[in-house]
Amino acid sequence: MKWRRRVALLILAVAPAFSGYPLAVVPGEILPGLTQGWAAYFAAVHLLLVLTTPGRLYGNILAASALITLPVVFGGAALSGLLHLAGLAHPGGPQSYSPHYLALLTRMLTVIPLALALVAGIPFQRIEQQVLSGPNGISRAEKNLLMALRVFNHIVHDVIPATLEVVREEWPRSPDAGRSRPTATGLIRMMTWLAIAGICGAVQYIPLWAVEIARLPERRPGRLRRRAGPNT
Amino acid sequence: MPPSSQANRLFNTGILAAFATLAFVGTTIIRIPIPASGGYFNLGDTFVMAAALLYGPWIGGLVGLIGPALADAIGFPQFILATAVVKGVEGAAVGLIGWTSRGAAAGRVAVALAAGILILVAGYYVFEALIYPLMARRIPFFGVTDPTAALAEILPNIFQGVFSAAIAFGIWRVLGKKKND
Repeated sequence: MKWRRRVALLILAVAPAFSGYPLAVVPGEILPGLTQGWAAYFAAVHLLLVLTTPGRLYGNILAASALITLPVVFGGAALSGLLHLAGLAHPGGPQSYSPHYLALLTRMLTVIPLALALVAGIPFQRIEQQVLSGPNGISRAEKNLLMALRVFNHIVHDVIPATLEVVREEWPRSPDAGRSRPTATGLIRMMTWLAIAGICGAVQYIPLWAVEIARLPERRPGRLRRRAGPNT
Repeated sequence: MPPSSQANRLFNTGILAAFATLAFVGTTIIRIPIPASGGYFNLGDTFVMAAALLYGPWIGGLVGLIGPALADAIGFPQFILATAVVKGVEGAAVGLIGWTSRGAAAGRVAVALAAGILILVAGYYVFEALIYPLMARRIPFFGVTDPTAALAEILPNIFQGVFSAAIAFGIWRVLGKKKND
């Protein structure tokens, strides 16, 4: 399936999550917190993903979605449980807050795979090549698009993996590491240096790319693209 | 247009894209749900405030408008509107107060960050206590909060703002100095 068609289909599939229709209109609950509308939408979205994305990519999308969703849902449920035990909230017990987390789980496991498939379905590098290969130069809008695409690709494919690698190496899980419990100041210091590393990695090539892209031949207004034909 | 002016504009586009992507990642990866309201605690504000302190109100405002709001699209679409407005205003305000072309003093930066925290907390309270319940009467999609939940979210938002501002101040201390050297 052509990428434009696939992306358009995925964007259409996202619409019910944003508008609430027809999900909010379909009555009936399968479980407290899980409506028939959302259950059907979840199934439909995953069927669409199975049909439109390669198997390995779908597996990676599921894994990434689970990594994002499960800590949020179970962490939140644990927090609610602690608040209930402390007598600060949820006097009704787990029955009062479980539906909220079941609804959250369903929503996140539906919307996140859709969003990831949408981003994965856009061939950023191919778009960049198409913009660069225009026969009559590129417009100013395309130059800005090119810069944004390069920066986005660089951060997602180079900066984040490299930063994660550094984090994995610098904070090993050895019981003999002899590390004391992190203080709030230590945590802030660690997060600050991590953020600085991310920013430096993200912006390091921007001045070079800005000069490089600015030098690309610019398409003059009113100049038409010529299609290849027998007489050209 | 002379190449150097165009290169400057492209540089700004690149900086905007970089910080918006980092804000998106910071908002998406570190998410701790707030049980009372269905929202979540995150560190996307760090990059919004840092962008504003390093590059000014326009970049800060646009980073706030784009990055965290895109993150809300993944899992929490109801909050996109509130996040885009609140964090856009937050970034613009921090940049207006805390950024100067010659480099601001630490006291001024601290005031700017405090203003950002105030906008974050007050902005989300206004949206969740007033605007969303009003909109939910016509559009059920926005029926996710009420004044009680909004009140319960004040403390987590203060904590989020202070934590993010502390990191942003550290970023400014290191990169702001280097930028002006």
